[in-house]
Amino acid sequence: MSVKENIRACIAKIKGDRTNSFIEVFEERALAQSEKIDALLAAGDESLILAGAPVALKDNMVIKGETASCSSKILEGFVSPYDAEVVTRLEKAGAVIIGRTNMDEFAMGSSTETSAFGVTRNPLDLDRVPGGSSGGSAAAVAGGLVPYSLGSDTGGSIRQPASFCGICGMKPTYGAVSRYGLIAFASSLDQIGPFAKDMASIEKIFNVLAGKDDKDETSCEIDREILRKKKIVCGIPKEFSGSSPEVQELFNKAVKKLSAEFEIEDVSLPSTEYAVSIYYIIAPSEASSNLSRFDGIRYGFRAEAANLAETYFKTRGEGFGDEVKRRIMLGAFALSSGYYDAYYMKALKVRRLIKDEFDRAFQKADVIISPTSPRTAFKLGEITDPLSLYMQDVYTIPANMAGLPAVSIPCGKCDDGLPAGFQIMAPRKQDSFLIDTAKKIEEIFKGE
Amino acid sequence: MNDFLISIGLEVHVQLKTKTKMFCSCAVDPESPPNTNICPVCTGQPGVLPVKNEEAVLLGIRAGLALNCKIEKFSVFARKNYFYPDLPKAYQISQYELPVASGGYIKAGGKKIRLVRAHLEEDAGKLLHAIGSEEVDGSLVDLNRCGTPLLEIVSEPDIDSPQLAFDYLKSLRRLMRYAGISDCDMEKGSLRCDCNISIRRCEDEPLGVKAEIKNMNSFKELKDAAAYEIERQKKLLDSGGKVVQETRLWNSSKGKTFSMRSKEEASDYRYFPDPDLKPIYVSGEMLEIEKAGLPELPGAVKERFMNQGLTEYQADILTDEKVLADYFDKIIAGLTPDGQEEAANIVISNLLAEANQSNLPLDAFLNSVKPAYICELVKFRQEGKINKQVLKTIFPKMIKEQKAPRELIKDVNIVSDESEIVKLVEDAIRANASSWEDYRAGKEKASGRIVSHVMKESRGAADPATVMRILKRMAGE
Amino acid sequence: MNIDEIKKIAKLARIEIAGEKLESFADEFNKILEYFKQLDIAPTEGVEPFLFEEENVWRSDSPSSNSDARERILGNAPERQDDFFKVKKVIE
Repeated sequence: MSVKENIRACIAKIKGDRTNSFIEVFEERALAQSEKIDALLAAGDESLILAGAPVALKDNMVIKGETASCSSKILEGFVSPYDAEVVTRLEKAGAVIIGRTNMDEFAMGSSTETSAFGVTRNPLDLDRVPGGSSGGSAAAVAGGLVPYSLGSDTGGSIRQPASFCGICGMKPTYGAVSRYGLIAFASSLDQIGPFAKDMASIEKIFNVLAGKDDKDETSCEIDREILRKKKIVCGIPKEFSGSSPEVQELFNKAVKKLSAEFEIEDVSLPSTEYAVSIYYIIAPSEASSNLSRFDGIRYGFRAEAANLAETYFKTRGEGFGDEVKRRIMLGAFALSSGYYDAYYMKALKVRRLIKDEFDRAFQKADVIISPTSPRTAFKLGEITDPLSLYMQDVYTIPANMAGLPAVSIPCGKCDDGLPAGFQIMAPRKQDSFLIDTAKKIEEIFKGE
Repeated sequence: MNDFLISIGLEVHVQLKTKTKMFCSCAVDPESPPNTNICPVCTGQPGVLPVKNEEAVLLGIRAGLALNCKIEKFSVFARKNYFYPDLPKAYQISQYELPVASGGYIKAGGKKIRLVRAHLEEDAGKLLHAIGSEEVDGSLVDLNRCGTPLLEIVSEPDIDSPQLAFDYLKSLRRLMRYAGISDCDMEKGSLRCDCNISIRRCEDEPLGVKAEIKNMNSFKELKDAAAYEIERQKKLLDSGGKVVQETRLWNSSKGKTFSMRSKEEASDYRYFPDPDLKPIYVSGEMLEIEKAGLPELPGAVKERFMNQGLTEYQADILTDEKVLADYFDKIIAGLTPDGQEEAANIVISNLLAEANQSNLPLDAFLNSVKPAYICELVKFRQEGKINKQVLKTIFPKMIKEQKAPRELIKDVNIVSDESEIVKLVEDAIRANASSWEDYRAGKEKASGRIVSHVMKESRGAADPATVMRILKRMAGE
Repeated sequence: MNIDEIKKIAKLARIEIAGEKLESFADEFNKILEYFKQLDIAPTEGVEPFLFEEENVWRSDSPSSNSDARERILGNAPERQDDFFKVKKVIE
């Protein structure tokens, strides 16, 4: 089957999707790209690692000549003048970028319920959420529409949907994948990462994406060497104890399966008690500044207005959804004069405490494991209180705080018939080691 | 009314002499057509990231050294958040709590003006409200300038007069040009200045409420605006009023400052360290390299010139531009120390006059005049071969025809050497015996007739100063 | 946080919030701020703010241009006049 035929079939499948995982299919672009790849393959090119693979991108990564909207009305009509670095790397490796997927507006959410383009449903149960904010990308892979998709993870937005949808999702070391072209939510926490059905696929696409980019000061090289350990020590943080009974039970079963080949230890990360608080100070603060550029002046939606001041107020008033407004204002407040020290600066100090505690824990353990999320996928509309939604990220936020690589892999189904992810974290820049270990663990889980 | 103490602080922005912008690789070129030097980064497109310009950082460090600042080992870029159409990201990347340089001073007008700090930041774009003479029903945004690297230099309010403010800005400009940091051309916008002015009755009182004055487009406007504002505040206080802390714009055609209309309450800029940019780490090694990269600075050159025998006035003029000071150094390298004063005179009176007439910029003009020619002129003057009149005549010819002085004097009426003048003086004494007697008796004015005689006989070629010298010598014998 | 303070922040952020929503925003805000109170006892005495690895990252001062991007950038303008972005009159 040629790449073009494969892509056509993929597009047809997407058109029949009932989960609303895609906002737009780039039919023309994808077919043109697939023709190119077919030609290269015919000419004997064997260097294309992802030759012809369809990849879906979360709606917050820019593609030259295409719209990227962060599932928001405020970016209506915006056509990107440039490609994100991940797009360049994917296409160089022969991938075919097939379309953009639904997300929580500006990545602010844990359920993909705040999109301006409707909710995305969990393919395993259409009455339930796929998780968020990268719900569309997770659903696209879980629903068998594409083998690969990219999401972004700021406090768990790749790992938690992977957990809810029963697939693999990885958040790389902060800096491992270039953020150039990722429409920023929280600059010091955001990372682009892959979804796939298994770790081998995760590894393949991750290696295409990873590596320093001169256009991103925060980018870095990862350690490609895999540490050979006699017996890998898995640390379980004492403090990660708020899971629902089903999730805890599934996790305990999974740990038991590992105890033959791995050593299991307790570790302590006391400051993770504050993780949700500092996340909801740091992320909105950075976001409040990052989203100021959406003002109707140079691109996107511009509201009808009588004067310049109104242009700003109405464009942003009409263009942003409520959750985005809430977080922008929270951030503006935390940075404002008189509150900056008590909130933003304080949060940065607690962040250092968390990082230091991880450093100490990694002296004892090689990887740190936990449930990805304290619960399984909830029903659409079930959780409406902002603070309750925020608490969904309690196990995933710490890895973003310390800039560590983390992955969520399936480990079976809970008593309620729903999947719950198994989270594995490794030291900073040890992405290759993490993937290798995750593959081993995945092997063990599959071996039943 | 004159019993007030004046406190002026200047905030100066200089545009750094780099090829590209502060955080992207767009060229810096003020002459370009609108929105040509733009890219996704400097237009604040979704998803873009800034990457700092190494040269801009090093220039910032070098400038800090030239300004006698402490260079911080660790400095941070911060976001200054506010909304304005010429600011695409709705924040300006600047520096706040941890600037690259702190403290420091500039010497001006015989005083030492302390600095608060110098920090790096990016420039905003431009807004136009009309194209040529045609009004626009709205405003137009040009982002060419957006992202240009700037260094903001903030002084303490040590400046106590409009003249000192003028002198300070001149000194700062000179320093930045010497150190190769910036061209500091106010007309082209590479030097911009705002000032904060307050007055109080005596030193025991705390500093008065300050007004910020903007929109001064030349050195003279700075002086005039400061003078006006000081008077305005004096009148206000004398009549029992209070100075309001506000921003006022200088209107040069009206000669007044006006409070800005629609001035909103002071913005809360919500400064925080920019998470997209890594901090600047300055090592001892980097400092040594930048120190070594600094040329001899104007203050040191001026002192050296004065130690070599020039007056302060001469030294000031000759050190005003580095190209001129360097040129002068080349000249005196070919002279003995006693010729430096004459060299200074020739450069100041003759060469600079020609430079002003020329279309060429100063450095190009100086390149076209061989220092050796000036040396020749100095020697001829010392020998009394040519007088000021002759100098004035041949100088423009020397510039225009690019000929050596020794060639040009062939066509001019000169005196070959001192013995000829001695002979002329002796003749004049004989022809004006009574004047000679009077002069010898102490009547200074009597020398006039003798000198005139010599000038007439030599057809204006003799140098009056040399004649007087010889006359004095003879009278002394 | 009362309604006035919410209004101030909304103004700072240039976001128009419908009158009827102000109350619920204030409520949610306050719930969140209440939760943040736990940070008061976090042991941050003498702790430096978090930073990633210490190293100078910068780029060389070499110009490059991209006329294709430039055209696309101007093409996105909601309102354009010649090669300018056009906005409502700015009063200075």
